Amino acid sequence: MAVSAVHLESDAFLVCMNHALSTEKEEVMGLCIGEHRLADMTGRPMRVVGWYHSHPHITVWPSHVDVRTQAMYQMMDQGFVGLIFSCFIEDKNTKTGRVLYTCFQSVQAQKGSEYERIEIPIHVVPHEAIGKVCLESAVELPRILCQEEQDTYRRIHSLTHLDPITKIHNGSVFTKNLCSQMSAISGPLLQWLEDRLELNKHSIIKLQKEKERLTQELASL
Amino acid sequence: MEEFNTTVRISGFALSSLMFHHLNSDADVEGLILGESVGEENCRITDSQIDHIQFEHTINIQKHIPCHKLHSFYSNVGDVSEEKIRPILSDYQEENVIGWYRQRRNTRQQMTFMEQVVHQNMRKILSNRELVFMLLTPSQATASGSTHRLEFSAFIWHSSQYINIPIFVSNLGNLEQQDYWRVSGTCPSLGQSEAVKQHRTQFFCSGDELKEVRNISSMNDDLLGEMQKVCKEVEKSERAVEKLQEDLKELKEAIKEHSEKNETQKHASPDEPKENVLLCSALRTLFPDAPSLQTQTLTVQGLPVLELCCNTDHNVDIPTKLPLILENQHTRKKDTAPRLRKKCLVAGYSQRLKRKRKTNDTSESASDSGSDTEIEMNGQNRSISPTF
Repeated sequence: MAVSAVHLESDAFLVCMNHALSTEKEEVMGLCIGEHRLADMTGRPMRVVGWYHSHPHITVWPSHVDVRTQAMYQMMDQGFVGLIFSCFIEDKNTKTGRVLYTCFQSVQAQKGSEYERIEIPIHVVPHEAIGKVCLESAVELPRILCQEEQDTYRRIHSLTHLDPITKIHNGSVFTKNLCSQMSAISGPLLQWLEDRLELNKHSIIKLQKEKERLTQELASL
Repeated sequence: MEEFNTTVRISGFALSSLMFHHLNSDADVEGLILGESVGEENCRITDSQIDHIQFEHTINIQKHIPCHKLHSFYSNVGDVSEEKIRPILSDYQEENVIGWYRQRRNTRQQMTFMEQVVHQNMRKILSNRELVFMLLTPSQATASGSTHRLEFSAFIWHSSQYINIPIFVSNLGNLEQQDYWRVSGTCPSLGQSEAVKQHRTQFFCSGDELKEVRNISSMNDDLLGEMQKVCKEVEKSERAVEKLQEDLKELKEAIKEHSEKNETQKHASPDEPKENVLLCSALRTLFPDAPSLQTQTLTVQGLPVLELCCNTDHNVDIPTKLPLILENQHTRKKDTAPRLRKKCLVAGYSQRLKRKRKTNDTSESASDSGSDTEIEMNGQNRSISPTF
């Protein structure tokens, strides 16, 4: 049974978008955590309900491989959904940038034939405050990138036949790559966190004043 | 020959943050953009010896300040005032304002007339020639609602017209791990050279680890630690904002309930006149066989509406609450049918009542006094309605 609709909370959307926009050179992917809304679904824990990945510079529609991958997931869980974020698209004529996102599942048209994509409506639901899980996921990204780089470097550095010049060079490549991460990911992420904190501090002051005013108004009634 | 080349750069996080602002609102949203503008002059000399000067301008969008409502910094006719911008900026400097943005659903990537007016006024107020207007226009790409699109671009005023500038989303891009050399060059002399051996310690720490790698790794670890700290503070602040918004919601509901209750109380009186319980009890006591007297509702002709007559015993303690009734009751003769004739009231009644009290003759009815003034009012036997 296909899923009728997907509700994606805006703070979760923010994390997916951050991830998708982190690189234009390769596809990134992640998992979506949530719950199925059914009448008897009280008390069920949150679980993986879907997967997302990015399509930098290419169309938002899933490739044959994507549709097949989605079909595999659906064999384990009929309600599993796939999300694709297409970014780094530019209309050269109008100089307009574009970002698209889509939600889909897979069906087999006839027995033994290839899988096809079916559209699943998706609504991004407002969620003004950013949840703890979303914040933690957001700051995971630079840590993961750093870890991947360190793993690659260590593997190469452990090769015994390399001369000192090669090693010094590789060390510089590592430094260069880490600097790219700091400049493109960690720096802007830290900037965004600090700005968000500033915004919240101002909101708190404003809301506090409003609360005092309303409390007085209620007391006077 | 001059060439004007401007690009706008924004990080993926800043762009996502902008999208986040609009996703949480049903209406259009707008705000200010802060950042810095970097100019570079590139001189290229070609074979033809003509100086080819290229001005490259990069406008870096670092952050945005969302406005809580539309028209916060401009009037209905697009007049921008510095006094209105100041509070939005709060601690940020005006020099850091490099533009403003607007997000509107299902519309074209084209500046509206109002937006153009506001932009021109912003340029005058902020004295920034390269002020940028960023326009984001989300829309649905499929009828089913499965696919959504967001278009975005920047506009600047140049050479008496608005031109579209592409926005470059800075990202990791070319993280070429192929840059690592997996094999060394085939010259053993290099590895064995005295120069290399001598300077080796400047690059390597003990145990073959490169100093550079150690330094950059520790700097990166500290940066991630700092980010973690700020993340925790942001989380606390998000919960604080959420709690305050909940409190405000509750307060507003309580105030609404209170005012609704007051309103119903105010309106209750004219719609449903309260029954004069004492009067009803008095009439019932004085005229128990005349139920038509227990009515507040008369027809247009002045006749009591019998269906609306009160037949509730209000359990009023007559001797305590209505002592005069009892005196009156004892002195009057019982009447069988209500008399509908009306005659005028006479002031002499009070004198008669005083006389009755003195004599204390409860068997004597008012009609036996011999007075020739008759007081009748809807079946009452020479008694004026008692006033309370």
